[in-house]
Amino acid sequence: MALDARSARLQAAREEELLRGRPYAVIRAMRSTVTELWSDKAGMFGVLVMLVMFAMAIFAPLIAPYPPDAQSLFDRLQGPSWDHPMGTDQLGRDVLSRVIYGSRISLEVGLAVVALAGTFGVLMGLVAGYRGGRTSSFIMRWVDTQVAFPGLLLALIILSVVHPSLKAIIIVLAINGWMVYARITRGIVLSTRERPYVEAAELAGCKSRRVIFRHILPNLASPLLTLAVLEFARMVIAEAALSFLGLGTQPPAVSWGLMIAEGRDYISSAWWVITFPGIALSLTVLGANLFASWMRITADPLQRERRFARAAMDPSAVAR
Amino acid sequence: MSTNGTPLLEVRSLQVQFFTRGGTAHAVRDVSFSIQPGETLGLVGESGSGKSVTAFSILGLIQLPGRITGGDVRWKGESLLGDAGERRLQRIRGKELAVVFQDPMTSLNPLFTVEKQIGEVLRLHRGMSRGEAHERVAELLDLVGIPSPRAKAKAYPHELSGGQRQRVMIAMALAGEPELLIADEPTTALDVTIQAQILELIAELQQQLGLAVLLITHDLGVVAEVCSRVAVMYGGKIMETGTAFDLFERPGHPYTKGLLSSTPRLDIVLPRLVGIEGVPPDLITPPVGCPFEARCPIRIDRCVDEMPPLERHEQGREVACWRAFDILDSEFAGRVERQRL
Amino acid sequence: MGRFILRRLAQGALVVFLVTVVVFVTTRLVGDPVDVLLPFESTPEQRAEFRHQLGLDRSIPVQFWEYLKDVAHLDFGQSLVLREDAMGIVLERLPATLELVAAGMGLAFVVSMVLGVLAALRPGGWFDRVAVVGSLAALSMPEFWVGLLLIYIFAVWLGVLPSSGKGGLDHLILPAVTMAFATIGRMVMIVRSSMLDELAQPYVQTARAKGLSGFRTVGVHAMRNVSVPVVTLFGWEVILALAGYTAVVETVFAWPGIGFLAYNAIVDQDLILLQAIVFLVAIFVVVINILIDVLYRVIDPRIQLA
Repeated sequence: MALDARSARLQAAREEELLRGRPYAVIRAMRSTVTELWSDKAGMFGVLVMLVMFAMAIFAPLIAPYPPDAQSLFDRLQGPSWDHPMGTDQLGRDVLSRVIYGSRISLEVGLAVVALAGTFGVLMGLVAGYRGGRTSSFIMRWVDTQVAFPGLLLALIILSVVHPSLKAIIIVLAINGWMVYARITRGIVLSTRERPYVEAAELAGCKSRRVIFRHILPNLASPLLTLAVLEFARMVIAEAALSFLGLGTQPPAVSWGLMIAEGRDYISSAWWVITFPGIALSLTVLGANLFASWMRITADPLQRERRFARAAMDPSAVAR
Repeated sequence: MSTNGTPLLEVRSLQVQFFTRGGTAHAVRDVSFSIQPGETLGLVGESGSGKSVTAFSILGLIQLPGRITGGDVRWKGESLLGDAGERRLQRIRGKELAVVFQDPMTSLNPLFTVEKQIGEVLRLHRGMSRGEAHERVAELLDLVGIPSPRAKAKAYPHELSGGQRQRVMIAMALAGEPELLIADEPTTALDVTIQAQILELIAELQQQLGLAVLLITHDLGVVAEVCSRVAVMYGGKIMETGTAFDLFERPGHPYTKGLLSSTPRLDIVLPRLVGIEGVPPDLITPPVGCPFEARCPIRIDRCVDEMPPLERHEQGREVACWRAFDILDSEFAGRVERQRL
Repeated sequence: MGRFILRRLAQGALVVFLVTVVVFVTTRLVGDPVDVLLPFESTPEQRAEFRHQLGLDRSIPVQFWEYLKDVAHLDFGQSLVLREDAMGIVLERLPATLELVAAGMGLAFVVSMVLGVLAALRPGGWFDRVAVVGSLAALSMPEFWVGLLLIYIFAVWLGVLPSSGKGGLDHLILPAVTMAFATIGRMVMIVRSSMLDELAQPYVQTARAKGLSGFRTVGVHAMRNVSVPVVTLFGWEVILALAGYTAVVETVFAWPGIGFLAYNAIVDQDLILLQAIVFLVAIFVVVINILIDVLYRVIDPRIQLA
């Protein structure tokens, strides 16, 4: 059927891209990225939001109207106004500035955990997938066992005993989160190894390292990137939850989760104290999720086709 | 061949298009043919010729990004397109009109037993109870040549061999006691040795049950086994129709001749395989004239500008070529000879 | 199947054991519980006495062994704050948590199946778009924040529902919805995309070609296949809820379950109580994991019981 032939051709094109190596694929991806972005508004929104949040974190001292810890008991619990677009909290501190500064910790934790957990997890996954045998078995058992731990509770216990510094939070979250990278990496390595072109490379005498780098890694890039973004979102929320429970960021530092915890007692009288940090959290996570989902669709040619066809048939339809 | 009475299935000027990012592909362009009760028609063509799309259109299974954009499909004289047509189609699908698809592994639901899947058809279209269906399933499995039918009925698709799965598909198609069986590349996904068995099975069943069969394939050998009439498709159009015997003996269209010449033979030893040079036409900007023109050894200028109509040359014999039957005097020998007349 | 379950139980026991080890290590070795528990002013004699009471003056291996024996008897000692048998307290609060998780997850399952399937049936349509946007928003919002917002809207502003505590059905609504919120967001995406994948499969075509109605094709054939990933992922959500979210949601609503208990234990630094809670939760997690695996293999006969 015409559709089968077409998807076969698309598959072949994709394989060819991977065979030629990453640089080629990356350049082609960049060229079409712009066209892609404009044909998927949701993905674009996600990227924008992420950029705004990161800009906020980086340029905080330049854009925040007040220092985040500037107290003014005279101005406590003021609603949103021209002076304080997001109002003030129970100590008279400007909520907007605190939201801006709060992005620093939230994003920093997210990135650090993803980097740490991701590196470790991918490494484990590569070893497990490529070595196979006992090594693989051991690693995957370890993964399975750790996955079965009640993560948040253990994190709480550890953090309640060790004092919750930024480093401690990052390490604890990373320990809790590396498993998914290992599983996915191993899965992809295994399925890619079976492919004829990898077998061919091995038969032709390529050393293991070359096989891994030139043939297997390109396959991993896109799914791992997507996973990293999703995990980033998860870690932002995790840090917020820990802070909310009192075991994350400690005052006088500012983080969104902490702001919500501190403002909790004042919901009835001052809704803005918890609303704005919550919105910031949700937007960051939403942006990351949209970005990740857009990446996933863009990377897979067959999905791209479907998306386009749908748009062609129904001009008001949006990507799936 | 009886040409009296209403044909069972009639396809008239069917047009199907696919809307893709690269452009709109005209997969089926103005295709017409008919099948009488009990008749066997083989629809032959290479991949991309539009033959499977035609079959799916008849069954109403064309989905995004494709759509039927013109023509009609009639069952016993009544249209199957449009709202009323769809209701009619829903009634006859599985019952009077049945299908066997290409890949039995993915065409069967992997999570249900054979009995459950065949039984569904029996309960829906033949109104059988569980017990009756149970019996009938065993009978059907026996009919299609599956050993230990009762045991196999309780099996899951992944527990059966490829050939057995295809037999199950055939049994499932026959369960509704159809008048027309559409087989879309029924043997392509199978081993060569099993292919022959399945084709024999289809031929036998056809004779036994007086079924009409529409067999879709790219393989001339397959057609020869089962079909009395053949229609050859290329570039979304029908190039030639006729009885199988006649078509193979005296191909009227250069493409048919090319197909025949490129089929390797066991009785003649050739120094090299013969092929048809060139590639199929781009369906997004289909040629105005004959789609085969670029690869045709006897093309003339007219072929580029004007599409030859499917003309009747003799009883039951149609050819769409400005130089029908001229090809009998030429050979396909791996090189394209361009003759300008 | 029986052998499979036994193997998984053995693995589960290993996990629970490891959890107790981790807890032991963190509470005894990493920090000094005595410093944590006693006020600054206590004299060295008081500290020594306390230490002896808790058995912390013995060598580590001995402590560990004693610890294991006690755990086997479900004796975690007395809660440092409440002065009662720790495990007893935990078990007493357990039903409240189970009630909340059951209500929340049940709600989540029903809603996400309905929304996900309906969205998949008309991909690109308005319902689909609304469902996807809504789900994306829902899964982006932190649970505790959702809970607080719901309290503000329904308890403070509208005043129709109570803001905390356990009581009748009206007390259950907000906590259950809070618990279900992000899960619904994630599950709708999963159900929808799994359903879209299945609907693209050839066997669906076969079903239609057999004359089956759209209803039966989707409701029976596709649905069965969709169950495989859905059950796995939903089970995972239940585990996440039990092992993580209860702490947060119960704290927001002062729901008297083990999550709230854990939060208070953290605030009061009642390590003994915490140990008991973590142990119990670990057991639950293990059991649910096994249940998911069994269910998974029941639905999909292709899976070998390795």
